[in-house]
Amino acid sequence: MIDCVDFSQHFSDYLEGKVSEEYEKLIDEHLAACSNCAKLLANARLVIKSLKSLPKITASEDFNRVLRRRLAQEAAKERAAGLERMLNTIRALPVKPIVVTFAAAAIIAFAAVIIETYVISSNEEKVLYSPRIKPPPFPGSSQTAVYQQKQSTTGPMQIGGFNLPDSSSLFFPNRTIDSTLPETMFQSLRDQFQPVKIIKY
Amino acid sequence: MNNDNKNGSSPSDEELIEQFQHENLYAFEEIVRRYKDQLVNFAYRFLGDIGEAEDIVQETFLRVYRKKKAYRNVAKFSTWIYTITGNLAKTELRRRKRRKILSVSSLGFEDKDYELRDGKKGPEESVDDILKEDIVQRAIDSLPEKFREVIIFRDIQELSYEEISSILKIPLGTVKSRVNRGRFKLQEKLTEYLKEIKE
Repeated sequence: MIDCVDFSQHFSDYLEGKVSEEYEKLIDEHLAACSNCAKLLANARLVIKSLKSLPKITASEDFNRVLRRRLAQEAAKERAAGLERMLNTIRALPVKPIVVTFAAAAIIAFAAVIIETYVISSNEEKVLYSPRIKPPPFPGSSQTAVYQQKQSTTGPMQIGGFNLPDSSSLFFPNRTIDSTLPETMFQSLRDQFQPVKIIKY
Repeated sequence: MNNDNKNGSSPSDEELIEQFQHENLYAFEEIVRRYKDQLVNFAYRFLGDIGEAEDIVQETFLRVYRKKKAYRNVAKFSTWIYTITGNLAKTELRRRKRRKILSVSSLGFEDKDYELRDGKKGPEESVDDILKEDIVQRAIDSLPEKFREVIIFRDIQELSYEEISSILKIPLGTVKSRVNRGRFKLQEKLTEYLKEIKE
């Protein structure tokens, strides 16, 4: 025979069918004799049911756009930190201040060009460019292009084993494809899509 | 969560993060698609504020993006990402408590003018349903943190005890006992509500 304390310690296991058959029988016997514990069990069932029936909250429609913006800011911050490290290295060099100033100015100008090239604006959207991926050969050496699905292709569009994201996607809004995809993925892209507009050279 | 496929059509979470570690941005997109809703749901139930919940999930994905190499395929990916969100949510909760202590004019939980969750109302969801949801959400909000997190993981997100134990890095027995006690506490807080829905 078990008592109320034993029951209170194991009622969750009992509810979820995680007690042995033998112990289950003991609990059943106790419940038949104890109205307080029977009530507690009924209430626990209601509580769990209420929790499980709470509506599932989903991310807002704006979620991807905000995340994309934050990722772009993050990438820019990383580059700025890299630049700062470089400048510190230059500052530490045993040369005259005027030389350091010119060198720093040259680096800042160079970095500005790089950032403009790598964080490409497309209306209000931004496409991230990953400089670590080697650009594949592409006529005109464009960096970003709008692609259109070829009429001859059927079935779900896939790149590198993934369904092509829709226009709400993080990195490729408006089906703008970064031509710096790995070469194998890019080949699969060219089989299914044709470039219709070159955005940036 | 998606771990059912090693050779089928859709990659598992672990395969996705591995591909993302090799700079495949599509893999990261897929991770975001799979997890954003469930993490927002978890964070919202934990904090009771949709704005804060979204912010925390955004930060979670930024950390996954930034620290992708930190993931080692020894634990499930879902465990890793829930740990990140859980820690951020707890930090936010503590920050909120500190703010409350510092602000003389701040209201306590009992006095707080709660705003009902707006939008995202399903077609079958009535005002009555939303009021009931608000009562249950208030009860969750009033649970101590250690009970709140296990109750949400177990009874709302429906994670296994083993996974909760891995996420929170506490023994399995402790998880079970906290779930048990958390359910007791919720019953106490929902006494009136339970009477009402029984009638």
